[in-house]
Amino acid sequence: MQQQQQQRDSTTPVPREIGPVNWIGFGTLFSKEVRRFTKVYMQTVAAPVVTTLLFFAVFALALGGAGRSVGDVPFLEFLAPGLIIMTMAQNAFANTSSSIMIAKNQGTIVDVLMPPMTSGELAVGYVAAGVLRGLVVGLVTVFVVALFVRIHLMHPALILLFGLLGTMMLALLGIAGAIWADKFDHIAAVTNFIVTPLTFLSGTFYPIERLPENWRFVAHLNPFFYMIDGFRHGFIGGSDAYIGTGIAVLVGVNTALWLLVLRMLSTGYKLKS
Amino acid sequence: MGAPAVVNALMYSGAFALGGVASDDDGRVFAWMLAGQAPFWCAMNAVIGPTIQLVIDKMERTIQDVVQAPLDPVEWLVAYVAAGTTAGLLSSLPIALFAVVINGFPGPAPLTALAVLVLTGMAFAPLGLLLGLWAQKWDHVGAALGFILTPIGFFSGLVQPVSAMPEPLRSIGAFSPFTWAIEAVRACLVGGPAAASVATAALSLAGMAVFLGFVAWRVLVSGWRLRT
Repeated sequence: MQQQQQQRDSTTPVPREIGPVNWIGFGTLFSKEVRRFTKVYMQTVAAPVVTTLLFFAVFALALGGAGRSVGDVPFLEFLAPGLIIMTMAQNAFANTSSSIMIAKNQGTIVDVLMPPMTSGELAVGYVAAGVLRGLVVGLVTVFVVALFVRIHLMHPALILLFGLLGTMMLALLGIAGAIWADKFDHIAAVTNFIVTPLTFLSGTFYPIERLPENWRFVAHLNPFFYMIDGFRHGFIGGSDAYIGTGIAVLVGVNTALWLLVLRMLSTGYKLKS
Repeated sequence: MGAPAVVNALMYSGAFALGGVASDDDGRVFAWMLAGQAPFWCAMNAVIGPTIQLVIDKMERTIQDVVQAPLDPVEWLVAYVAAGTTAGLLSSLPIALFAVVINGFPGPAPLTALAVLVLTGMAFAPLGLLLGLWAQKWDHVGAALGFILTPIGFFSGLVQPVSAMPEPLRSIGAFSPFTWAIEAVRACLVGGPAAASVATAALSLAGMAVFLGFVAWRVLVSGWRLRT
């Protein structure tokens, strides 16, 4: 009898001890999110790089960009950082938004919500993978664009800082957008009517001083403008806005988005109902 | 389908006009860019419409509902081409309207522009049908649209008249169906130079519609990638 009891005790599973952070859960979610985009690298890395090169080629070959300059900077050297951060931002957004949207649509979101993970662990897992995809796409694009134009690295720390803040902002926006969206049409609307136009028209292709005065004022209210402007400053050493303002705006927007996403995940808004 | 195309057209035109020329105070360059975007999106959506439908049907195995229906291959062809052309027109007409409103309503030859847009849809829709039959997964569709069609379209007079582009882009661009459509529709909506006359462009697009329609019909008759 005692022997049977001892045998049962040795085979009965005991509850897993989880410390302050569920590292296994976080690592699994992060790994799943990274594998999602590396598995289809043609769509997630190669295609954005080709699109960036296409825009670059249009300006270089068809629009005579090779002969123009913005201030003292050749136009193509001005254009390259804008295109790179635009691609990074769009991909960070796509990573988080598509993952959550597909999971909601297919009903597999329960696999993410049921494990003993806090909303913070979930959010950090998704955001880290989104930021990583943005950085990978950005790095590949830098190397490819460098084949055609001279890439300066005036302030590498600022490049990294604005790259991180920018991709984090878009990754968070992707989570919030996908949680809010009830169907693919909704998230497509966010992508087509908000994210893409804002990344496109916030100084990627031209200095903001080229805009009419009223639009220039509007541009300074747009966080995407500070993301592009600061990132470009890291490469060419010139910016339209004060860099400190850009950092403050991006930190502020990121903080607000973190709070929003954590609130959405902790209350289960449109996830647990 | 229509609204995203309009937003994309406005976005591309704005970026190319602001980034590409010294000044555009009266908005003429913007309208010129926009007028070229109309046939570009007409062609792209005429391709995308049938392609997406066929690939979804093949992946979800609902293609058998279409294959088993008592439909002649000609009826199939006409239905897919008509649907693709409609998708192209729905996305391009609002863009064309924007262009003529900015540049001066109603433009030099709006009805001719409409006819060329219809021909553009009819020329590109069979290509979408063929692409949808060939593609077996989304990677194939993405590669064909992103790596082939979009780059060709961008260098076919979309941002600069083909005649003003450097060689070899000028010579290659002259043979692109996108060029025929873009330069002809633009000339009819806002004026300006075109590499070929509008009649030549319309005839070329009609020829492409007949040729690709015939190829698509033969492929449908054979049942390639549908009944295997």
